[in-house]
Amino acid sequence: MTSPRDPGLQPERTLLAWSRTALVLAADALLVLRTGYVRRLPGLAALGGLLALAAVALYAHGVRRRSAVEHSPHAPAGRWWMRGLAVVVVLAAGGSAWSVLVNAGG
Amino acid sequence: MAAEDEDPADREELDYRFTLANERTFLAWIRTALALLAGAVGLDQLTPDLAPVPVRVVLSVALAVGGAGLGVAAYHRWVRVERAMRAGGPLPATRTMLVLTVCVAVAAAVFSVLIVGRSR
Repeated sequence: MTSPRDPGLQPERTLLAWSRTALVLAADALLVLRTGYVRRLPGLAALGGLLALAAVALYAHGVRRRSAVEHSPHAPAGRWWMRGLAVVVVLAAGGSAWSVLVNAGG
Repeated sequence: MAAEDEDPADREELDYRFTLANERTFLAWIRTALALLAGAVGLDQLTPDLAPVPVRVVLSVALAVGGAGLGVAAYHRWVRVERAMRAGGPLPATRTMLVLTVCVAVAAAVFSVLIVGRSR
């Protein structure tokens, strides 16, 4: 399939979408991490730390994805990243619910 | 490599702009899910007087569960759109938007009632 390329914009917008997602995930990670730290729950703090690492990995993937798309117009999307991200959201939801229940318990 | 053959992302070449657009839409859904999670924790930590503890816990946990569901829905949506684009068929319909809209509207109504009730 031949198509007009806009080499700058599409990869750039996609990178920005990945970075925004990484930022929001980092914010959620910090909230979970904070509750784990304040309530002295190593498990919850570790989950927060894991989510923060996932945010860093997400951003790195966005940068890599951008350069891959710029070098090849048919760079595959990487199903495992999408799947992994859905799992991370579920983990983050678990961390959030855990934080809420911990706070409710005093 | 049987599992790889199943991957809709690798099956056939596609205009990269469509792939990237689908990817960004997926990420937008993921951010919406993450925003629900931030709402869950924010509601819990920033509004101690909004409602009795059990009510706040139920609302916050409901937001968290909704966020998890939306994350999974985003992935399935991405796969289905990717498949449809490669097959050259019409984009699949989704009820996620309707469900999300109703949930957000219900949540807003509940919050309004709580805020009005608290100010009396």
